[in-house]
Amino acid sequence: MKKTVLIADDDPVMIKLLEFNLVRAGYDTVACREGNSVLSSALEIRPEVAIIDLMLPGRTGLELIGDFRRHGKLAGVPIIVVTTQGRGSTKEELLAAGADSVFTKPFSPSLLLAKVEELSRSRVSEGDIDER
Amino acid sequence: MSVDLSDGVSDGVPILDDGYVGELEMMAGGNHAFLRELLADFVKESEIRLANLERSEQVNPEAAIQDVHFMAGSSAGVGLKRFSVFCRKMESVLKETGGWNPDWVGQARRHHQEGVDLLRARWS
Repeated sequence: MKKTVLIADDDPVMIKLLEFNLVRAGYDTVACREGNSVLSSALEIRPEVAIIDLMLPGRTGLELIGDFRRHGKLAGVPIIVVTTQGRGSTKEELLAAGADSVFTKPFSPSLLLAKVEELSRSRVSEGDIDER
Repeated sequence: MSVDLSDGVSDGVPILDDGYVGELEMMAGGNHAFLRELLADFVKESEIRLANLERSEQVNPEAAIQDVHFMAGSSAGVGLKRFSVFCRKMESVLKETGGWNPDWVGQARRHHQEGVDLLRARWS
């Protein structure tokens, strides 16, 4: 079964770019362009990894990190936050809040894909340990 | 308050982020149709935001900040470096002073167009 990556971004350019790369690498993707729909989408699809824009309308990336980390069913989902230089929380604040990685635009699509794969692999390893 | 943002933008910053655009092209693997779609999406969204800014004397600075912030990120995503830097400068001045200069939209449109033209030619 394909793993699903949740993309939460209001920019169709960013969504298209991420989808192109992720689908080619074998992932399914689900996109949300509005912050208030992210949590319900995540609960429905149980993403392998979530990629969240920091300045998402409706609910910011920082608020969504808190939502995920407090929610029993989503607390373990790795979160990559995508930011634009010059606005919002710092990388340190985002990591302290529970983000697993932070990318500032423009970022290398191949490096972001490598991070998704790394986080996905680490989830599998944790799952293996839990099952023993 | 009127602030001139043009100094250092036109002359000091390349129109395109060549390294990033090269990476996009490598990622697309010669699929220029995909890159043209990406650019068309950017143009469509950014035209909406630029039109909002043309009315910005009547809107609150926070709305204008959201528009320029969006364009700074989205343009970086297609490699329009000069336009992205110009948007970041607008955002910075808006946040610091709340002031808006109607001349900025004309400058922004010029930087937007020169970048879009270059990418259209490159991905034709």
